[in-house]
Amino acid sequence: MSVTRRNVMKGFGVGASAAAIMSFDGPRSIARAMSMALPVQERPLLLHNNENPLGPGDVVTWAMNEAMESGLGSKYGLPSRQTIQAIADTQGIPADHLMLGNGSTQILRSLTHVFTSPTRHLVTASPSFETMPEYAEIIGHPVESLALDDNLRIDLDATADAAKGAGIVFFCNPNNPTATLHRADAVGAFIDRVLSETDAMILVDEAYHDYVTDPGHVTQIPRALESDRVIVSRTFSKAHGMAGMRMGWLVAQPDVVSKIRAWHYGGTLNAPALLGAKASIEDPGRIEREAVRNTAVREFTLNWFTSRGFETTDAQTNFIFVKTGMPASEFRQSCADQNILVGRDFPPYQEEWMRISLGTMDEMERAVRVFGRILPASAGRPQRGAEVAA
Amino acid sequence: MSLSRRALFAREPRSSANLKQLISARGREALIAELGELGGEAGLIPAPQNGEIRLTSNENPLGPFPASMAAIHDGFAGAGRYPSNAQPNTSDLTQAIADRMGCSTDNIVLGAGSGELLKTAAQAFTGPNRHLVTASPSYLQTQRVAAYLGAEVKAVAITADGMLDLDAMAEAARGAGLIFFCNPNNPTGTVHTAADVRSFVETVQRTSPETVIHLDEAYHEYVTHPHYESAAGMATEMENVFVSRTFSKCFGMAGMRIGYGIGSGRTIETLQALALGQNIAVPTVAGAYVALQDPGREVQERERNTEARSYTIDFFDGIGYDVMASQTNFIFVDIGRPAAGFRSACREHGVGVGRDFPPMEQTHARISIGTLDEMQRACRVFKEVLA
Repeated sequence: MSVTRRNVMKGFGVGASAAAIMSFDGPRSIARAMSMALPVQERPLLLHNNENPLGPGDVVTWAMNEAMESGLGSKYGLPSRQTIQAIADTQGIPADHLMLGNGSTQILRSLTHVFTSPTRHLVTASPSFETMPEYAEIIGHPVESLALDDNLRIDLDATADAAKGAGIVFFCNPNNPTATLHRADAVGAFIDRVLSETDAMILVDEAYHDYVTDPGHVTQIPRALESDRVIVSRTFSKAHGMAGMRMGWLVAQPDVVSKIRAWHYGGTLNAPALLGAKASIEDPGRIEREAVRNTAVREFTLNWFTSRGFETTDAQTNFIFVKTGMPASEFRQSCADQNILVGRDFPPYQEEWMRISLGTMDEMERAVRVFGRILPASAGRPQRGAEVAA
Repeated sequence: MSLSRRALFAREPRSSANLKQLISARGREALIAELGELGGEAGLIPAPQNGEIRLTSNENPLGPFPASMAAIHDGFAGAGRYPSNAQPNTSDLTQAIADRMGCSTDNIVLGAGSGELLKTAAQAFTGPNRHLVTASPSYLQTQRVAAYLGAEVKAVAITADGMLDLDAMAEAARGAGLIFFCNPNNPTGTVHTAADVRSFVETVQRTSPETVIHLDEAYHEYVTHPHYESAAGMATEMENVFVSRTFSKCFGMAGMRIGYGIGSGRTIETLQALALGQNIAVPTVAGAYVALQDPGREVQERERNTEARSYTIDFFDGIGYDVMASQTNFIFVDIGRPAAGFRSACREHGVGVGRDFPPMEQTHARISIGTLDEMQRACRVFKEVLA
């Protein structure tokens, strides 16, 4: 546990007081008292998990409150079909091509379970989102991880080569943690190659799709509708601001969905999340506004680094990948000392590169002042961060 | 991850023949409905109907505890952050459960409903060469996952008085990967005493020491039998015993999806390795955390249920129908006719009752216990329907 985390926890001594408060002040005040009792120090700035700093917003929160008021919090028979139908209607996808999961994590695990085996490996990039290779290792299925290209993008040719004999290819676009994107023409050619030269499945993980501004990007959902070997995954954890509610979805042909569902356990979804997700996807205006907000913050933050000579990738996400020139562990500890949490190590880039999630504009203005104290005034100059850390 | 752990999970390739068998036996639609987005047993449960007295699914009719409800509402404000970043977070909840159980956090694993844990237990401990032993009828989820994985399922018939046939189950367990022991059992509602459970565990450990015994205690909080005791203490001491609990029943949080497991050694490490990370929603963590701080409310809910249960059992006794000795928030009644007809007749009168429980669906109905007021109204309907 990090020092910062421990500090936060120290302030968390609610247990006994909550029951005492309830006895004379009614239940509503308990949670209020809890949040008052919680942090002894100011909560750290959370720039480490690629969350939407604004959260779910009023429309979604209202729908989740409504789910509770209507009694669904205590009932089985979850309203999953309503959520599926809302995604189908708003995205133009037949409902039988959709499946939900406990975040995209559960979806990625189920796909790994169903489409890899001791003799059919998983293909992934390194670094990329780790859920699939982690789970493959747990169940003892082989993984082939491919290095990124010189521009920190997924190496499409090498990935297609490695797909021969594979069970499934994981293709995260834009990629986490490097924030890099492959455009529609390159993705199309890559998928064509995997489909024609191998018999592997392809999962295109579009967790950050809503944040992409590159005009050359398109979703691969149409491809998943027409091919029984292409699957697209999405999540409500990013632009929709619902990471804490655990809701993701995938698109695949009905036979593929059936095959996954035979293993996938759908009882992990909670009622308010299902109705919150429905409300969120029926409100595309909020997601557009969130993308505009994020883009402005991203430009501000990228500009802060590049104007000081620090290399960054062309971020298409709600986080950036930047070459600070110092070990990630050192930069992370220096930030933590100043109450900011930033990304973890992403081998093999952990000696020089850092992933920083984007908060609000106000938060990033505060954050870059801290980064300025940790990093040299410009890249390549002798570092003065060591004093600060000490 | 250690090599031994990896080896533990290495398994033979799953035969797709098994899946095809399931599909052909029950139909693709049935398979999807049952194992699909509603998950396991929940796939058979109807969505709530307006105005209906809902005695279908063994839920707490009062919903989450008031303090939980408040914490859940307030928890939505933090819904943009992953559960590890919430306050309280999943570590805080695990600590609170460990404190309550008097064990270490290493003994606890959280699940998105105990259903997730039932699935991972079947995944970890059954397979083509490691069969499952369960009772018939009992909760089906473990059995379905085991069947998917190509494991043989030995479902041992219950005794005439609705108890699990523990001698026959122990006999069937020789060489088994896993025993699923639902105590109290669903749908019969019957419970085995602490002495029975201990003697069963000792027998199995002697005759089949590698077999993992999974005691599902979903209805633990509702038990009033003086000789019942949770197996949680055994689970923290014996490596091959694992207990699951849920917030879906007494705590009224079925729609929020949270359960937990208690175990020790390699068994709990295996289940922790297989558990989904970040799987419990932020408001769910908050609601469960607060519920644990209020044991008095739990007692109150048990007493409320006991009164409504006694009323309902007395009613059936009074009109001459046998009820199994229920220790849960549902009863299993010998109505002497098919459950399907009884169910649809009740539904016409605005009362929903439980699904079919083969092989007893021709004679027995499962009825969940609602509030006393609901049960008084429902019993008038039962009287009319059974007349």
